[in-house]
Amino acid sequence: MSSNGVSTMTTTKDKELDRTNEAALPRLRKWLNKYKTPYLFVSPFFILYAIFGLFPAFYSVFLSLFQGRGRADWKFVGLDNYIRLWFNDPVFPITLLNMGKYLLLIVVPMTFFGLLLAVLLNTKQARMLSGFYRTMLILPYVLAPTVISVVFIQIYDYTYGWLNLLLGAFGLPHIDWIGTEKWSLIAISLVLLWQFVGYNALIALAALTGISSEIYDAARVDGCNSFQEFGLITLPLMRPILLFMAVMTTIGVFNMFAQPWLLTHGGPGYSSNTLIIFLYRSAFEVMQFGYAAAIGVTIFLLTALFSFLQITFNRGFSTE
Amino acid sequence: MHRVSRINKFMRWLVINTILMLLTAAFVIPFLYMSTGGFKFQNEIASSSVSLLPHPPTLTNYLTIFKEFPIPRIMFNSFFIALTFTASNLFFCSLAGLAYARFRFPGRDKLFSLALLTMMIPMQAILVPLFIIMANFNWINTYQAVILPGAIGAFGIFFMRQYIGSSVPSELLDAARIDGCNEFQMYWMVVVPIIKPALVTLGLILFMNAWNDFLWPMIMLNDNEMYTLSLTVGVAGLRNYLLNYGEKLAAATLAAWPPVIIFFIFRKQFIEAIMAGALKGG
Repeated sequence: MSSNGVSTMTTTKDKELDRTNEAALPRLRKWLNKYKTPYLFVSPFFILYAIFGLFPAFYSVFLSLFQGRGRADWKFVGLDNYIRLWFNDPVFPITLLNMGKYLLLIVVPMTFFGLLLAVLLNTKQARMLSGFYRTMLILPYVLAPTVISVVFIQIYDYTYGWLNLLLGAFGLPHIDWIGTEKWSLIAISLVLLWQFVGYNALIALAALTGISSEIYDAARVDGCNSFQEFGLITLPLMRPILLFMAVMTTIGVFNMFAQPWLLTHGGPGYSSNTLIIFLYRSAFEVMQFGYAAAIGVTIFLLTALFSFLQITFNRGFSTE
Repeated sequence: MHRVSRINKFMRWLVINTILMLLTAAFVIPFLYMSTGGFKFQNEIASSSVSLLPHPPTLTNYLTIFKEFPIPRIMFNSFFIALTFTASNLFFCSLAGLAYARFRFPGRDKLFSLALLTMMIPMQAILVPLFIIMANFNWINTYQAVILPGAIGAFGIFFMRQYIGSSVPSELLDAARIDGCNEFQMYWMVVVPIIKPALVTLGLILFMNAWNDFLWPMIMLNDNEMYTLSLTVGVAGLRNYLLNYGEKLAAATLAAWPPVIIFFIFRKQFIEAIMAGALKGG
C-alpha cells in the first residue's frame, strides 16, 4: 500500500480530523514499522495459545458451573459441582489419598535414588564405562508409556511374570502385583520409578560434576571422611537441583495417566485411581462435562499449590 | 601396605561396577524381554522359562499384528504427526526465541514472562473444554486436532531464547542487515545455520514426546486408520483380549524401535541435553 495515497486522503479531510489524531497516525505507522518484525515473530505462540490454552482455561471455569450430559441440556448449577466433588463424592477423597501415596512412593525414592545413582556414576571407578551406563539408564525414558505398560503387565503376571519367577527363585511367594488393592499402587509407582530414575540421575550428575573438586580437597585436608563430605558439602550444594527434581516429579505425578490407566484402569476398585483417570472417566465414560471441568480446575489449583509449597518449604529450610 | 591398598582399590572398583551393572540390567531387561518376546510362541511366554532368546523363533505374532491393524497407515500417521509437530515447534519457537533474545521492542520481557507463565496450566486440566472446541470445529479424528494444541510450546521458546542469546552475536545480525538481508532472510540464512545443534536437541525431545503421546490422541482419534503406533499399543493391545502376550509384545516393539533407533544415533546430544536441564520430565 502506498503511503502517498493515504496521506493525500487524509489532507482532504483535514479539517474534520482531530489534530492529535493526525499526528498520532503516522507515528503509529512508524512505530509499527519499526517493531513489526519482532511482534510478527512472537505472535504465533500467543495466537495459538489464546485458542487452545487460555480460552479453554476460562471455558473450563465456566463449564464447571454447569451440569449437562454431552452437548445438550446444559443447566447452570453454580458451585454444585465443586460441592459434590469436595464433600459428597466418595471417589474423590480416595483418589486424593492415592495421590498422596503416589507422591510419597515416587517423589521421595526418585530424588533419593536419582542422587545415589548420580553419586555412583560420578566415582572414578565408574568412569571407564560411564558412557555405557548413561545410555542404558536413560533408555526407559525414551519408551512410550503404552509400550512400557504392555511389557510390565507381563512382567507382573502372577504365574509366569519374571518378577514373580525371580521372587520364587529366592523362595518368596508370588505377588499379585496389579490384581490386588494392596499392591496395585505400589506396582505402578515401581514402573514410574523404573522409567524416570535414570533421567533424574543424569540431572543430578550434571550438578555433581559442577561442584568444584577444590572444595572436596579442602574438606579432606580438614579431616572429613566420605560420609561427612557427602552430608556437609554435596547435599547442601545439591539442594536446588534436588528441589528441581522433586518439583518436576511432583508435577509429573499429578498428571499421571497412561501407566495407571493401562496397567490397572485405576483399580482394582479405586485403589490406584489418579486424578486424571478420575477426570477422564467423568468426562468420557459418564459424559459429565461440567463435573469433569470442576475436577480439571481442582487439579490445576492443587498442582499450583503443591509446587508453591515445595518451593517455600525448601526456601524456609535453607535460610534457617 | 601397598598391596593391601591396591586390593582395596580393586574391591571398590568391583563393588561400584557390580552395583551399576545390576542396575543397568534392571533397566535393560524389560526392553530386551519385549524385543525378543515378540518372536516367541505363546506357550513359551506362558511358561516358567526366563530365556531372552526365543526357542524356536516365530513371526506369527507380527503377521497377526499386520493382519489386525493397518500398520503401514498407522506408521505413516505416527511419523506424520510427530514430524509436523516437531517442524512447527522448531520453526515458530526459534523465530520467537530470536525475537526475545536479539530484538528490542516494547513489552518484550513482559511478553516473555507471560509465555513462560502459560506452562503453569497443564494440558490435562483443560481436556474437557479442549475436546468441546475440537468437536465444534468438527476436528475429531483429524491430524490437526492432535497436532495443533501443542504446535508451539512455551518451553521451546524458552530453550531457543537461551541458546540464541548465548550463541548468535548481535554484530552478525547487523552485518547481515547491512548486506541487504530482510529480517526473514537473516533468520533463515544466518541464524538457522548457527543454531542447528539446538534445533537437533529440541527436535529429538519434541519428536519423542509426540511419538509417545497417549492421552490426547486417544481422546481425539477413534478409528484404526487414524491411530498412531503408541495409541495402537495402548488402546487395542491392552483392551483387545483376543491378542495374546506375544502379539502385544510385537505391537509394542513396532512402536518402540523408531524412537530407540533415533535415540541411539543421537545419544550424545540427548544425554547432553538432559544434563543441561533441557528436558522436561515426563
